[in-house]
Amino acid sequence: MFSASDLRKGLKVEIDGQPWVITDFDFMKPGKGQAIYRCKLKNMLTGNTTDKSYRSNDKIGKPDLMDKDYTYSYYDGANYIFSDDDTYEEIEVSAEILGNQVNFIVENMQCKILLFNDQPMEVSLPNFIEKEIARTEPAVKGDTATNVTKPAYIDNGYEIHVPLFINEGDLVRIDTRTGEYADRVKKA
Amino acid sequence: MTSKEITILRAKLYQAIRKYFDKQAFVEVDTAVRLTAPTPEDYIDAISAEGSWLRTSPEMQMKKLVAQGLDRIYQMGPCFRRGEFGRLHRSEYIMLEWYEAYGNYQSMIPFIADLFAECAKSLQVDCPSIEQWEIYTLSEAFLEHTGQSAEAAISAGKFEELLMFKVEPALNPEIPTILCDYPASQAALAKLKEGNIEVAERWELYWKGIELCNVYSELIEPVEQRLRFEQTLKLRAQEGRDCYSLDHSFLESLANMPETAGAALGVDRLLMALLDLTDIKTILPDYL
Repeated sequence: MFSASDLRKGLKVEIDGQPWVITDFDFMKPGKGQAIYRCKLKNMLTGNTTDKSYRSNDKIGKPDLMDKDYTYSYYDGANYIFSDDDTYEEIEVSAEILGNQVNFIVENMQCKILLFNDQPMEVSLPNFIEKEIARTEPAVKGDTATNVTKPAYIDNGYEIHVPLFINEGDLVRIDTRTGEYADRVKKA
Repeated sequence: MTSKEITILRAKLYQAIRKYFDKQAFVEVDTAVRLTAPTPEDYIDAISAEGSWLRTSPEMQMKKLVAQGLDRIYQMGPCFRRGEFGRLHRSEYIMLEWYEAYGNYQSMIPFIADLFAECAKSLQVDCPSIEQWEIYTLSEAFLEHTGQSAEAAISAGKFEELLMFKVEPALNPEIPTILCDYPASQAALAKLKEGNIEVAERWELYWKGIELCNVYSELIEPVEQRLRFEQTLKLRAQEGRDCYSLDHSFLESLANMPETAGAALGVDRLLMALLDLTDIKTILPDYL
């Protein structure tokens, strides 16, 4: 169990059997009164948010959370199958949990999976992946304004916005956390 | 504002405070920071320091000086409270505390309004004059903003939530606002109000949404004070928190104390309010 003095932004707690993450935290206390630990929380399963206040003597549940290394194996038509790097045990992850990351995952990619009571909650891909630009319009000559982007597509049709100097066939780095273009990979 | 600019403004504020108290014929005093017996308070915890405790306020030590005949004294220095860390809190902070013999909590209102005016002038910022200040009893404020009395909120264990989430946000942040006459249970060292012992002669001053200053007419009855300390220590023991020994010389000295008004003001918070800053981290010196 956590005690109220452990509470801080980013801490993961368990309330009514569900895992929550503290997204905002403040210690409040009137001069002579009891301290109130005010938390904004986000449910890690449903994304719902709520506010809760705790007192010094309150105990707060500690969720059974574990971050483990997995390797992505294959898509079975319904779920994404990963294997545990230590035990080779397979685990199914739904497209919903992967979210936007389904666009970047490739076979044998090393990932971390956050488990709550042995159930997958979040998948973390490597922060950056490299992809080739499959299709994009050439830049219009003379358009030298900075911070202007154009649409481009990677092999699976995922659309990103890239600077005008990017051409078809260029290799770019994509930030998997935001799903956005990061920079161009220099050709060897 | 850079940290260097803030440091210079902080020094100007200290100068203005000292100048004001000097003009009002107050004597600046220093009392011990490390104590064997800190003030027993229901919900203020001391930090231990090699068999003794760091002071949570200089209250008892300064009152002993008043009992010795020092009628007008002030002190500005660090105080320590365990586990306090937030937008308006740090475990170490600078407290300005002063005592005026023969004063009471009412006479402190114009005194602090003048102090604020001097402080604002020194930093070249505005502070509303005393004619604009708002004063409410805590019971008025609770009834208006929560629909229930402060006493009912205390019985329901909801006093702090309602005060901080309903009452405080309803106060006009631009106008220094005083909430006075706190329930007797919320004022360990304050005198109960003459003619209404349900409340204590205590007020808290708010400005810019920040609780800045706590003022009492001081309790000077040794027997009553001992009883309150013992109740506090009993509550602390029940809740499994540190229990301190009683400062007997303080209790004895109360018998020699005249009617006195006392005030404790968070200097870091006053600087925040004057500079319109909302997080204490922006005005702290590097060592805090």
